[in-house]
Amino acid sequence: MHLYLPIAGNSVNVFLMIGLGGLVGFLSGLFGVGGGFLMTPLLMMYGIPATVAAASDSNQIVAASASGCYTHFRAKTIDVRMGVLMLVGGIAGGTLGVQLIKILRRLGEADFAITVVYVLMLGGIGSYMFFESLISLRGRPSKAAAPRSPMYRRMVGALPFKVYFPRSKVTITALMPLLLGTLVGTLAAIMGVGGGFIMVPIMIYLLRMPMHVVVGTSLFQILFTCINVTVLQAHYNHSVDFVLALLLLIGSVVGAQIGIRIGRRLRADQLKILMAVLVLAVMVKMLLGLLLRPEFLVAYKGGH
Amino acid sequence: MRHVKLAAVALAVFAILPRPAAGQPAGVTGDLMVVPERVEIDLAYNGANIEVGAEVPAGYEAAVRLMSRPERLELKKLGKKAGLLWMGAGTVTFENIPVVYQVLSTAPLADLGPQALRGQWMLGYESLIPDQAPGADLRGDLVGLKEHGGLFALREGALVRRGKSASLVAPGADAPQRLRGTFRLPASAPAGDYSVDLIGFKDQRAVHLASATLHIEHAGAVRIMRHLALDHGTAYGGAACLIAIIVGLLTGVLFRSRSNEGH
Repeated sequence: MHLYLPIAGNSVNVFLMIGLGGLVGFLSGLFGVGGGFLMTPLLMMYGIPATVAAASDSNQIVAASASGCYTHFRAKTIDVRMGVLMLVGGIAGGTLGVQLIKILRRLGEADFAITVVYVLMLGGIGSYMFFESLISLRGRPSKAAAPRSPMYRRMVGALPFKVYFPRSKVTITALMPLLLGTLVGTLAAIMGVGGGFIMVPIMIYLLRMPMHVVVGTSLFQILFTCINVTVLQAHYNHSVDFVLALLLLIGSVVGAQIGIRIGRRLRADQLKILMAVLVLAVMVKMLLGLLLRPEFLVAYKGGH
Repeated sequence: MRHVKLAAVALAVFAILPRPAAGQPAGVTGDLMVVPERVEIDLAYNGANIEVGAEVPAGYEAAVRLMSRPERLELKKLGKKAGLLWMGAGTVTFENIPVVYQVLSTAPLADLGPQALRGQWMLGYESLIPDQAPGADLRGDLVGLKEHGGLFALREGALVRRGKSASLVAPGADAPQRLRGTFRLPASAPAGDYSVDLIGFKDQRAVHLASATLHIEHAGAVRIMRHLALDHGTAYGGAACLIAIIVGLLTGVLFRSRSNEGH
């Protein structure tokens, strides 16, 4: 059964799109990531123009993250104060990133620089999470669980505007989530993704938030980021295909609920190691895409 | 003075119109029918089969060419960076390339006539992107990309003889030959007018025998949604978010009540 997408200008298999949405929603519920880094390339492989794939994916993430947020809100596993600070930073970083990408593109080597940084960063984050969780699963105390180095503690301790975040049970300067949010927002804008899979490790390792609060808070931040992106894309690029988003979100809202329920049954270390495998898998896929000769030496513009 | 100007314009228009090659036999005509002539893109649209029926004079081989309006096409060129990584390495521009280009013929194109003759009627990829054209070195990659999406197709031998004439009238006899074939348009073929041309070949000469137009247009919900998205983008985006939030929250409530029932 096929359905024509008015904005993408192509038809898609209804069940395949619902299934794709379900898979990404499941990951979203399990790890608190938006899933744009996975969904957009999959849609592009299916023949959806890159701009429409990215914009419509943002629209469906709104549904999945709203569904996840509701469940986490009821379970009191969203640190709203932390989420708002990161969101403010994320929006500022996104604006900064868009300007930065313009300058990089003018210099000519932006695509090369971005792709290499992307692969290195995914590889670094994924490997660190994987080995740290593996050590933890084997019952040895991990480096991340141990107190941070005195230098790190001194630096963080010296920063002003300390705030207690009761939901996360941490006292840190309000500048930390704000600055880290800005950093992730900048990276996300440069790479054209939501940034959930960068934000989650940062919340775990740098902000020292408990894993169950990390997932809910990440979804909270993603919800508002994606609303912003969807409206902006619809206004400036007219690239939101609601029929596509609807098919994806039917799958993703159900997938997100299943992901949340399975996530509750897993230990934090198990969740982290699964997240690490996902990040490394995306890195390997990107790396193969860079190393293997493409089938055709020309491509439509707008793709990554 | 005004009449002189009009005559000059008429002559100029006539000069750019496709017309029979030098030496075309007088009175040689054919017939071309396209079914359907109008295709509506609605939500259930998944591409279309366009049937063509043609009549050509006895002894002629033929080709039917379907294409959209030629335009400039700019693509990303892929190359190796740092001697290792494949990625975007500039752009390449092709001139006068239709989004959709398909040809059906009664015989392999090479057998219909020399390249120069086929080139006059834009038959074959070498005619579409000649060797001296910009980007000609990437012709194979462009064609591969387009064929992969179903937008380009050369189906040599897919224009077949039909009816009684197929069995009773041998090529060379006086009765005209009736031909038929099918174009497969993918769902990604854009709305617009497509030209369909029937070209006959005999004795190393080509004759334009007939032409038709295929109209593809948006209809129903597709047209309404395109209107909303293109002309009222902000409201459309806001509504899309609102519906997504409602669906998300309803699912959350539904799953919560199910989970409560289970306890």
